[in-house]
Amino acid sequence: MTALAGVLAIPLVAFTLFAAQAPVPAEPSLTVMGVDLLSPEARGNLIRAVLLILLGLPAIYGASRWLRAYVSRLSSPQRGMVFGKVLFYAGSVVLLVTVFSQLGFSLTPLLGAAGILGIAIGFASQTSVSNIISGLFLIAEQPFVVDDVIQVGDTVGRVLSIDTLSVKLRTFDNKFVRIPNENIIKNQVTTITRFPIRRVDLDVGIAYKEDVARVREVLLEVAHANPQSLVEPAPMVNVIGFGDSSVDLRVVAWATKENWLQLKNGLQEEIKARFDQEGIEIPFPHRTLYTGEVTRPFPIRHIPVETGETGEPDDPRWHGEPGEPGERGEDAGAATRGAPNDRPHNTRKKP
Amino acid sequence: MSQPAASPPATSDPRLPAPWGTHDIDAERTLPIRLGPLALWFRYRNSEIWIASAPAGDGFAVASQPPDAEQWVRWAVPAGSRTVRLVPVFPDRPIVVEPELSFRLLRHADARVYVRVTLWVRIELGDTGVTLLEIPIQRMSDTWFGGFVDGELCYWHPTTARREVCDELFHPHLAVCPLQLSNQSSGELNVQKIALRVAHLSLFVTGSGGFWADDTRVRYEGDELGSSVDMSGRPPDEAGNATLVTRPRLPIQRSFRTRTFARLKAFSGLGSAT
Repeated sequence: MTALAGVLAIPLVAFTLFAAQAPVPAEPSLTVMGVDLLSPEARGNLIRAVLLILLGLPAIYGASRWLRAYVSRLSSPQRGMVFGKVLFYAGSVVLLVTVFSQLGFSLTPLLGAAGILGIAIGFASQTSVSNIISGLFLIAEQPFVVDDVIQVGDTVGRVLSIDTLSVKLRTFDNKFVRIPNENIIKNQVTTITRFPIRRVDLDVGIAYKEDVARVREVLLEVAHANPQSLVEPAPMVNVIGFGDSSVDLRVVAWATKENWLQLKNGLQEEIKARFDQEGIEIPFPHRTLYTGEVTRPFPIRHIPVETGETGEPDDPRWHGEPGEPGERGEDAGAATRGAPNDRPHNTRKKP
Repeated sequence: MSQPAASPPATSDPRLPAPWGTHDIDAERTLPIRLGPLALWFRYRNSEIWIASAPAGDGFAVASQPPDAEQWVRWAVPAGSRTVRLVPVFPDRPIVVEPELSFRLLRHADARVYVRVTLWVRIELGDTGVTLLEIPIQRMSDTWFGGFVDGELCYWHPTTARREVCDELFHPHLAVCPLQLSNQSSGELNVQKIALRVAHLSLFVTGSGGFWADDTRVRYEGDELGSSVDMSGRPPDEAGNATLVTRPRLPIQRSFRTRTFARLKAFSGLGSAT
């Protein structure tokens, strides 16, 4: 609603201002802000103004692009972007003023109109203004710069540009993402490539039967042998807890931010290969069933496969048909007792 | 199965010991060269120079062909340019070295330390001097020196820092960097690691073929002030009348204040990382 009111107000205010300044015509003429647009002199001015726009805008655009590239090469892409934008906007304002002067318009009423229009536009474009202000803060505070990799919410990507209204990202699957500056200011932003080195954390579970000290030694050897792993800060192996099925270790190694992903992938492959070589077990989830203190352990009976007793799924005992052990409604112990197969039953004692 | 071949001597540049210097590449056959733990192969074919490198084996001889044909890298060169020049240069990043045994330097005490650094080989096109390639003779691990926010990426060199010069120090692929350490702080200095900023060092060679770096003085003035480093730009007295082989990669800064010593406590905070 506010936006609609603003849009309607713009032509109304503009017409009022222009009409108030226009004198009563004595001869056929088209006079705007005291300038007769049909006079030969005005036509000449108009042609010059059009030429100014046609030549000036590409020149300003080209100059800002050149300045951006030049400063980026000399300093950083972020500074290049800021310098390029400043030149473009400043040049555009100068061009606009020059064009109006060429047409013979006085800027004073325009500035007055701009004040009134500003109020109307302000109401109509609160979001845009908020984004512009946020953009200024982003450029001043520099939580990230062009070419940084950032994470905003679930989106991770490389910063292409920090513009007046939004930040543009390129995600790693090559999507273009535009995030309004206001969102960036309001939400948590993680700059992944801010610092020169990054840590790789890998969680590794080993069987309870394994010797943790030996496994730690093996993991450190693997980490040290990886060419992407920095000697210092030195790799570490920490025991982070006792899981349901495994002793959980965390391997910590450092790499430069450029080599981080390579180290992470490489370490996982190397750890798996080395564990296979050393016979270190990475356990799958274990479940232990028992029926309480007062019951005896489950009796497990091995039934050899014979002709007619294949143990295949069409064997009725697989389905726990009524009357057979394993029927619904029986206790779990009974179901297990009646189980006709000899599938592995993993048990372990919790430490 | 390729037959082993000995490294041929350099054909010119008497300043440099073999196999450094200029080599002609025969159009008919591959030229193998061994530089310490590095094996190099050169080939000239259709106005192209082919170069391959790999870690050398245990023996002195180098196989006549690289172990993997995909290791070849090709350069199109002006017709007839079939000479290459092997030039020793320092690595492109600082090197963190650890003394044989960490030692403590009392306040207002000085110590002279000799650190050996593995060189890189710069391969230039012989008649133009254009650099084709730079290869580390021995691959060094990467390490980080300094804080998590403002440190610098360095090479880690497990070489020992010795207190005296002996013949064992010198090999054709190693350069000796003399460091005059001076502790001007109010406490003792526990020297456990030293960051050598080799990009500022020149390389000199003696008549007997030993490589030396500039005479460097490091003056430690405490944790707050760090160290001031002076590079003389001249060979040390121990090198006699050594001649300049290569200039520094970066301009010599006669004195600059920088972090040079690392003590283990600087990294002790990592222990809490989980």
